[in-house]
Amino acid sequence: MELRVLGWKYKNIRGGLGDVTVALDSSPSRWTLIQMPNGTGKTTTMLLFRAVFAGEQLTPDEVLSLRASDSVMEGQFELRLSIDDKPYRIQLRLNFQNGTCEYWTARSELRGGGLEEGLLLPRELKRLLTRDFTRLFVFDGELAKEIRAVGKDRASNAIRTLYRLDQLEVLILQVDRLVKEQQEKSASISTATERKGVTRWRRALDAAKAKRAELSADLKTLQKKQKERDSRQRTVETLISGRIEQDHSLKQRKDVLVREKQDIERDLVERVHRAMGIVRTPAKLHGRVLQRLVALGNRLTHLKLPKTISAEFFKELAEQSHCVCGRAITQPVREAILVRADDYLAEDQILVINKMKLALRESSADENEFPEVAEQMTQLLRGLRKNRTAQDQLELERVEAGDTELEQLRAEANELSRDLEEMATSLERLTTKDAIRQRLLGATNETNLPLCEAEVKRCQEKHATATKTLQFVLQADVVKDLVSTTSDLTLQALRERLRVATNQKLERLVPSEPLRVARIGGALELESNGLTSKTGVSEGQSLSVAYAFLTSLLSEAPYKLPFIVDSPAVSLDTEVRREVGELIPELFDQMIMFVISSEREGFADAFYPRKDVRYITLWKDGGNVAHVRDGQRFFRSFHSREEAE
Amino acid sequence: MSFILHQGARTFFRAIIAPPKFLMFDAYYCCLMAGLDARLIGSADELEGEVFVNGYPDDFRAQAEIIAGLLLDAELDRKDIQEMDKSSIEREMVKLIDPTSATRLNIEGNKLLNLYAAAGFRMIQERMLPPANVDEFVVAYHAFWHRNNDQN
Repeated sequence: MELRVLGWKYKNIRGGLGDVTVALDSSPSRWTLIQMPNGTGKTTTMLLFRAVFAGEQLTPDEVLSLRASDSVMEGQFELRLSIDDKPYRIQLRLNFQNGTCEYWTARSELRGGGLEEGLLLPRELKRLLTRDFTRLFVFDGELAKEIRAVGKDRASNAIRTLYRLDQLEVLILQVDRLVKEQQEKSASISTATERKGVTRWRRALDAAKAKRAELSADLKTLQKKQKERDSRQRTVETLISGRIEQDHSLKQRKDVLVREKQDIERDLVERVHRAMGIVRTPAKLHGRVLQRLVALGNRLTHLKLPKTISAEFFKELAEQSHCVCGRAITQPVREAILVRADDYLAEDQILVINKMKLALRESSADENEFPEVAEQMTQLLRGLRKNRTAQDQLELERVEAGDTELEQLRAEANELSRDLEEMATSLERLTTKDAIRQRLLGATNETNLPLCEAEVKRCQEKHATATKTLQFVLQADVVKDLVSTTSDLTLQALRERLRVATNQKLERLVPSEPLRVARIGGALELESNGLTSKTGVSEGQSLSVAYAFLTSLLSEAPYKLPFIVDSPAVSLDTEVRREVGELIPELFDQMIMFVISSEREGFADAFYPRKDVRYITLWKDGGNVAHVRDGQRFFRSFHSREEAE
Repeated sequence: MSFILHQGARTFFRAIIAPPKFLMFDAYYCCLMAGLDARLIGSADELEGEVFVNGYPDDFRAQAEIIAGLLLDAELDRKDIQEMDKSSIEREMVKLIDPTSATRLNIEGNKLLNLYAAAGFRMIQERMLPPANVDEFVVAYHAFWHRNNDQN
């Protein structure tokens, strides 16, 4: 499905937009650059675009805030679209007297092209264009931060919506509804006694489901609290560092200790990696193990084990009428041979034991390796403890010198650590699927989500048996599992595909900075140098990541949507601007970019050599009346009042 | 091949299980090595009811023959089979080895491995505190082998 913007019209809208039309023609250029100085309604236009696409019902305050002046009673924003080459005209009519708004649509299907009340977009498109989703392609700068914010699930939800994975969730709900209908139908024709059983299990099922909802809510609350405490803990650590840094001499000592700690931790990571390699090799654990291995290998060799005669030899012999020595093999002899044949190794066992013997005999290890690395680690751990004590000492010195704020912060840090530890246990009790841990933590279906889920299932089955719909329910479960697995696997595959595509674009956008997406979970998780989680990201970097992700997301999607963006390059360095200006345009079939004159350098000038670009300038004159002018020459030479000043 | 932990192992090693740095199998293996070295087996009652992993993780596959050899060695010792008793040694091999298994051990060998790991866990639990991090565990595990065992 393809959606294009053909133009729009303002009537009595704030920012001097009394009666202004922007027409992009029935075959709009691939790229449209609209230069609008600050204060001429760029933000308002973006807001109106989002509202119309998502069919938002604006609040009275929002409606009134769009009013051009007190003298106007009505206003309108009209958007002209092409959806799969069919023209649509959507009007957002604003009533400034009572603060209401309504949508009207003119569609090509409608005879005469008249207007109908409501936002009448094709159903498929209407489902796609949710409020949140619209913000992806009518791009909102705030989104650049949100798609990286853990807990907001913006990145993940965008993928779900765009690739219609949410429809799979709808399918699961439909299956549930069918099951419910079947059960109700069945219950209505059962006897009174049976109905009693149905009611009892219906109640148990409802109670289990209510408990599940309660536990899910508890989980969300707990996770939220944990995130808050975690964030506060980091803040407190920063504040504690800040207190120390107020004292020059303490700061110097602290800097030395911090550097020392980093060195020790780096060394420890390297040593523990080496040590695990040693531990995972039995011969390196202790000289005694090595000796035993070699001795067993030698013993097997000395005893000529495994024997070369295999069990198969005797089994074959038992099938013969005469032995190799010429004696007849009678039935009792045959039976005795077969019984004893089992004491011999089979041919493939011989092969394996020979391999084992070789491995045993060839075992070698430096028996000092483990002690050496363990000693180095002991020293490093000692150093780390000393370092911790020394850092603690710095804080105590400052507290003793009368820094009560630091004292409070230290107390808070201790309390936060305790809280976080307790929360981790509560979370584990609530979520662990491990039966052993569940037992140890005393978890029941009243306190543990997986157990509660199992209880819901049990009640469902009992209820289904009572309503004689068990088979139906079991089949429904199979369908739901399949749909759910399909959804999970698809989301996983899409996330990975988008991650790779995003990183390829980031390599082009910010080649000097190893800024990459490590993982797409609910949010985009960044890494730098492939080592640590990247948290301190500048606005420009944040925007680069957002562009790289969104362009990957939208350009590979089954829907062709326009990309509408306000001030796309204002927070970027000139170099990155140029990259953005060169990279992004290739990825969309229609781009509408609202720019200010300062963005021409680096960004807009990347478009000048291109064909299929439309340049529009919209500005206000001294009488607060907006004007529109087409053409590259005017666009390039336009000087806004702010610039002149 | 089904590996089963001692009932207390999961809790004991809980703080340090963080794949790929330290796997649950690492915990099992460390216990197994201790049990095999001491020639001690635990009882089936001490084991968890469920298998925690099927087959060796990648890092251990190359050690399959060695671990099978260590099990054979421990069994020969535990059963006091004389060094030159060729037929008894061969019988033990027949009892334990399955060439079609990735671990080279059959069900009986697998069962014994779990029991040796259970006994090893008891020894570790007696001589160590539950580790808070892998670094400290590695140092303590070294001490377990080199201090405690060297005195034996």
